[in-house]
Amino acid sequence: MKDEVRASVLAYMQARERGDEPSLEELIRQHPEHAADLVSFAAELFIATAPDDPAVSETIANDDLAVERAALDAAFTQRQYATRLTSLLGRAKQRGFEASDISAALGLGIDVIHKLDMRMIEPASIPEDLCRELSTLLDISTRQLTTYFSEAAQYAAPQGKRQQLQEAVRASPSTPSSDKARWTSSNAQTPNAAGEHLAAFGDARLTVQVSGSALKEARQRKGIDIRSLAQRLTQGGHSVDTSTVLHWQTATSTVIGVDVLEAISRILGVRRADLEVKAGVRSSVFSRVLQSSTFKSKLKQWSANHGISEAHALAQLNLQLGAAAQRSTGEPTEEQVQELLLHLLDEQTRDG
Amino acid sequence: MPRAAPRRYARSPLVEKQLRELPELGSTEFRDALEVRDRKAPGFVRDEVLVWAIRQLVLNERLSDAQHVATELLERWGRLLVGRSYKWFPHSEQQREDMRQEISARLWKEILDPAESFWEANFWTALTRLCSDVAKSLIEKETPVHLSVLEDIAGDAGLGLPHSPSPEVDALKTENQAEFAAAFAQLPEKIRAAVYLAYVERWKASSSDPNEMTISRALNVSDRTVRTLLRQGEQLLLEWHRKTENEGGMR
Repeated sequence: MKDEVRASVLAYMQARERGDEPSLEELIRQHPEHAADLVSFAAELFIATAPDDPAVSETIANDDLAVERAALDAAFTQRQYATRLTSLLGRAKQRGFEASDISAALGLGIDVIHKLDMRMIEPASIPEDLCRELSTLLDISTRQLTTYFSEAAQYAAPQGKRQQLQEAVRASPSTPSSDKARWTSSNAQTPNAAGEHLAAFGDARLTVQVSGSALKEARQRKGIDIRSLAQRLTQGGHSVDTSTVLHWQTATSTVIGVDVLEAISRILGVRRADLEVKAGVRSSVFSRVLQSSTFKSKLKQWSANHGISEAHALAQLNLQLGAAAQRSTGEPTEEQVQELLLHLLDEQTRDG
Repeated sequence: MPRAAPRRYARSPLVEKQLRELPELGSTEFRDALEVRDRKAPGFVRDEVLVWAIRQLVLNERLSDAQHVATELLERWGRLLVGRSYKWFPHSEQQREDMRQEISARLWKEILDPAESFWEANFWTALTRLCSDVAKSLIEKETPVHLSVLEDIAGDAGLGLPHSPSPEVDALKTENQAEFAAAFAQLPEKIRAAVYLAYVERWKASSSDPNEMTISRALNVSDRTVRTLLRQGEQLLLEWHRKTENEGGMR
């Protein structure tokens, strides 16, 4: 319906609500150019307001609205996906930016941008100013950003700790010296300096990524249906409805609060770790392979060829390794990891 | 690209008043207010206000709260949607199901899209329009049947005579309004408009008085075309009625 027709129809309907009886003829005389649309609307109104067939009234009253409820759930599930940030640089691309544009806009080296993208930076060390500027650039909320940064790192450093942003900036060869001072100075407002932001990070750190399929499996093994699980979580003080549980299950992975995960694991009688997503391959198997001289020399050569740091190269590999490991069944052995890594390196060298 | 800034339709004073009062309500009070289902009760929250609230909650990423309000909206209107599907497609469960699915999908898409501002101005009208649009698009799939009927009667010898309302159609409209509306819903749009003006608004097909509103003037077509449309409409209505009688009524 055209905007002008809608406006005329609105005036007509509001007059009806006031108890006036506007005539179609009058409406058409006022808006002769929309006569056909107005007649069409009046005819549809006639159908809409015709009395229900008494034979079907009861059927309508007893309908459980399953079709409508499912559509409502689907719409909100889709919305949830849409609001969850899954890749910093992916989002930048959607907004028409390359990593270099973000780097230039923030005065941060491209290596730091990649580390932020791969969540290799300790969330609590990221200044509020940086979050705010990024949120403006990417047109997303700071809450989306803090949640993103707090999710499991795509690459975990061998020592198992994420790098402080200030440390990453100091070590960054591509961050201009003038900007280095800005991001490493004690004036850079870190979450510690901003109560509200600290709370946001605090909340965010209390989240984990849950695997939908693992949750479903555990629930089915326990013989608890979705509704009961939602009810028991709600009884336990976590406001969770059926559609939320359904969404957790159907998503590959979802971020939820640690407290909620704990409650779920208690109800389903499984360990928390059994429900969590394992990002990349961070097992001791992987660490041992990383230490091998064959791998070290290959990695060095490959990162030099591509002009990127070894850490960056490792992060890239871990992502791909994680994807490959997920496709295979079970935890890979040391030989398999080594083989996979070397295969990936060879492949990337060829592509490069 | 984000959608262009929406055009804001004037909301009714009551909706404006409730929107002004809304921020003063705490979330518990708002949830309590949602429990009021009697439309005439003083605390009843208007549907347009709920649409506004859903959009604000989504904007602030409070999706769970937004879904709670949306569920309330569904409780209010869900059965009306089911009823509409019976009005447009009383004899086809498949088409009713298709209509319900399509309406539901489009409903939430439009409600979650702030550019669709008409929903905040008059929810009922927006819903009626959505139901009609979906139903018409489904009926269009049946258009070949209608067209063949139209061609069959194109050479009707009575076309030269002035149109006078058919007593049979009048009787159908008076005696069984639900069935008349269901048959009327199946008519092709142009025929439906002419039939509506002739049988519901009781307008003449044409008139020599230049000030009198007639079907031909409203639809901007010739007298002859109006007569053709009306005769085709009458034939389709009566055929539909005979067919449903043979099938044992509407259900």
